[in-house]
Amino acid sequence: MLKTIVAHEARLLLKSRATVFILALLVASMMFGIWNGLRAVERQNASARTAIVDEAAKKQRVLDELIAYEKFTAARGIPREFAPVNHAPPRPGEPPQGTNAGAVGGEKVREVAVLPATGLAAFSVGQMDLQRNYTLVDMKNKFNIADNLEIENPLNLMAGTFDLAFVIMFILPIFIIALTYDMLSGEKESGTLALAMTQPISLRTFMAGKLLSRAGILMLVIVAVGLCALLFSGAALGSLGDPGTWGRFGLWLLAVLLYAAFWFGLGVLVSALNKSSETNITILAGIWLVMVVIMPTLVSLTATTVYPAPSRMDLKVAMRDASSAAEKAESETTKAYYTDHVEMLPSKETETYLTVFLARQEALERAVEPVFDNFRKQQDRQAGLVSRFQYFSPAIVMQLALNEISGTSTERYNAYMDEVFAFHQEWRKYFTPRYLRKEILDSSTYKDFPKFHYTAESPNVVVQRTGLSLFGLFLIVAAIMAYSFARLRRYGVRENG
Amino acid sequence: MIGVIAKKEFLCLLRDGRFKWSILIMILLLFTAFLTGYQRNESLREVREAAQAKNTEQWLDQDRKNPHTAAHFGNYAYKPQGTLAFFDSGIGNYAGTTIWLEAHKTNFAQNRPAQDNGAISRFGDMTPAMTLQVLLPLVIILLSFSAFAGERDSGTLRQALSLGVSNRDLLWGKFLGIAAAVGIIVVPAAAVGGAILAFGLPNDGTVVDRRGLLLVLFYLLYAVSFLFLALGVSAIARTAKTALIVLVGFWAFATFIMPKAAADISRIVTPTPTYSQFYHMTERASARGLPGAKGPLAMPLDRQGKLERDALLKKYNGPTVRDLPIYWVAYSMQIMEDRDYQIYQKFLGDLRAVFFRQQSTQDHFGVVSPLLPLRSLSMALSGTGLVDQERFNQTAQDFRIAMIRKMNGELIDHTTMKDPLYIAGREVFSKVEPYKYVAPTLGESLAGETQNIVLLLAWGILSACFAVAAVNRLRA
Repeated sequence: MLKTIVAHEARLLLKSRATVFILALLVASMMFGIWNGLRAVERQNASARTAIVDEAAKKQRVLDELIAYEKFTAARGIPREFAPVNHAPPRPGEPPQGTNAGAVGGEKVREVAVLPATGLAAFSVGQMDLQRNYTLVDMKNKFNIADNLEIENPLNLMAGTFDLAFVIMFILPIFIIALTYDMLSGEKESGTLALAMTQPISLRTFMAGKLLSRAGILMLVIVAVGLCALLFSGAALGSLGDPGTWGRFGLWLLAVLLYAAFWFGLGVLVSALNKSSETNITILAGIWLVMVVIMPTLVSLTATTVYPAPSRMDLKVAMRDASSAAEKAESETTKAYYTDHVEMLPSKETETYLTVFLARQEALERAVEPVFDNFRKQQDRQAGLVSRFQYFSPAIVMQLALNEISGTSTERYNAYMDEVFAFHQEWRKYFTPRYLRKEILDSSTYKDFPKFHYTAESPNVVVQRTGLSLFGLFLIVAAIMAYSFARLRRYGVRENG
Repeated sequence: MIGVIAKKEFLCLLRDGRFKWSILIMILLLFTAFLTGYQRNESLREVREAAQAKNTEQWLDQDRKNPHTAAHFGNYAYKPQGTLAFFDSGIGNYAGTTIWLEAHKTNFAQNRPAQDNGAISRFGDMTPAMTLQVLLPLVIILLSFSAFAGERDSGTLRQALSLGVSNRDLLWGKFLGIAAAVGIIVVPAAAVGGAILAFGLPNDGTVVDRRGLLLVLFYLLYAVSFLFLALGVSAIARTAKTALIVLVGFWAFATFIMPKAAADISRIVTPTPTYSQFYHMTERASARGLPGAKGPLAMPLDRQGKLERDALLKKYNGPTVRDLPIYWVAYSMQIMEDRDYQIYQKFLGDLRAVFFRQQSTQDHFGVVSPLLPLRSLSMALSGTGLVDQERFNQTAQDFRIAMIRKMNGELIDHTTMKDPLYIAGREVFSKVEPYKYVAPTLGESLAGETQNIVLLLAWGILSACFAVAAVNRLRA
């Protein structure tokens, strides 16, 4: 019997112009969404590529100069020398800056530490439009390095991207509401419900048939378009061969399915209340407004009011205080000369300059670290509060999950930044002792400079971060469905509730 | 007659449970938004003012040192809040708040507050402006969708018309009745806003007053547009259900879908350059010359340096720079600074043009969504829009070049190649005037907004015409 109803309903739905229109709108907005998401990822990748090419060219220039010097000395059989820090180009026969590990690692050569996009990055832009997906690492202090903003019109950042995640979180529920608000009330208002109930089926089977037909059609569309989106963006990003991409896609489907089920559940719940179609749509629109608009902004307001992020302005003030304090320790004579322009310094003093510079960077880091830590701690506290409050609104659950699944969450970014900071230490460890020993860098060592290798988060981490909240959502959906179907028992086919 | 209808409409709305709740919730949200907005704004202002004052102190109190080294230590410019930021935070969360102004480097404003607030902040901020822009229209729709259609459903429209009420009276009566109900929400909120304006904000009273009045005017126009639109649809729609679906659909389209879609479309039309592209172009121009420029700017840097050196040697009649009465190293650094300043001004100007072109593209979509012109006007009047951010960026860069000219100038004048030793202290550092942000005047704020004012007015007038036309053809 259920089968007959599902088939019958599906036929009816697909013959209704309103349904077809809704489905077409959904497909169109999903396609626009994935296109926008893909453009955002490609923009990030292009930005990183330009940086890599530019930095490689800078390194090559230093290397070329060094090789020329090496040839010059070899031809004449004279010993090579260590170049003191100097910003003016070397005269022929003079050692170039490329021999000096401090100058090379300090500013001449920078490593581009890239956070690669996941195979599903185009599905949700998340927080990736705020900062670059790469960091330029040299021997400056880590707070300088962490200032890695990407250029974007603040107006666009405020509006956010019309990406697939937006379509799922905001628009999909509207379409589900449009498909479900009159599942029973519509039949009742046109007088066909009583007629249908004369057949040997229960109201609950009838409802289940309506629900399954609608959910089936919608999910078919979402899976089909989602798959197309994956193939389209995956082909462009070259990530289809990676099994991780498919794992993420599976998780994405699961999350979207649960979220859709939540809204279908509300449709059933409202139907079970036995009110007019007009009332149903008011109630559902109200729930949408509360869940998708009001709740998230209120939770955000609460999180940032209870645990306000410390002001970045205060961080800068602390940095400068620390820098001044470190400076007080330096000798008067060094300061008399340029500390940043050392062309004029007698050569023994130029070495103090760089030593002082490096020492100052480290002193500054030590002094500011507690302030910087505060940011992470507050961020963690905010995130903790949000994750506790997320069950008030499945839209929040969804946003966190979709960002996580697409690899565009704050958590993944922070984990990446930690890797960058660790690499920064490694970079320093490589260059500082060589500089202090006044080792003359050889051109053959240039290929051995530390390289940043991003250690991707294991798939388990993503499952861990999303699993609990998705399970929570599942429980909510199950509860709504169970209650609604139980309540249908009390549904009066002829009278209003 | 109009008065009677208005009174009936008003009472009916108040007695309806659904509306009671929505009005109550709206009032609560508005109050929350006003109070948290105000509190947050004040604490931000304190932090900002303290940081800027501290910056001046740090600059003046730095150890005695070479002025150029002092320029490397540099200054920070911290972005001040707009005058009415408590009402509309605008792009505040998404625009950089701190710029490091140092020798040799032109930096962007860093540290967007959004990056510290987690992804959830991307749902939007609960500001009074957001509440009025997004939620108020929905309440208006809920209060008015059944004005005609609902009476038609229940058959009372036929009765009312049979009494000989003119269509026009019916429209204005309903308009006033619903407007009064909306007033219950808005008037207390406006009073809170007005009180903050009058007592809570520092200085500049008159300017803020005018801005506040204009805000009231524009928001009123926006609300009235939605009210007329809803009444018109209600008069045309066959059933109340249809009216509701059409209106809620339009609301979602105008307030959620369009702003995002418009931003994406504006980026497709005018792509934003990336950070690496920007520095790729500027560094290239700095070394090899600015394409399309005239004079020394078009030359490679080393050629310009050589030209300037030769000119200087000729002027002072010295065979080498070591014989000059001025300090050549500092002089050549200043040549580079001035050159880079012009080059960056060019590229930053181009970037600014991209931003404003994107804004203009988005504003064009005001034809299909009244939210877009209102949003722009609201930000402009609150001092939290693109104009204000760009004013901050530009004044900071101007401050930077002035500071560096002063510091390098000190060196050029007081030292020579033979005797480059020069230690300066507070007496020299204090020649740099502290950074001060001067907000755009009302005229400057509204300079680019003519189109938006026209669009918003058009929405008001056309929706009123639509309502009148729809009601004239009213069928029971």
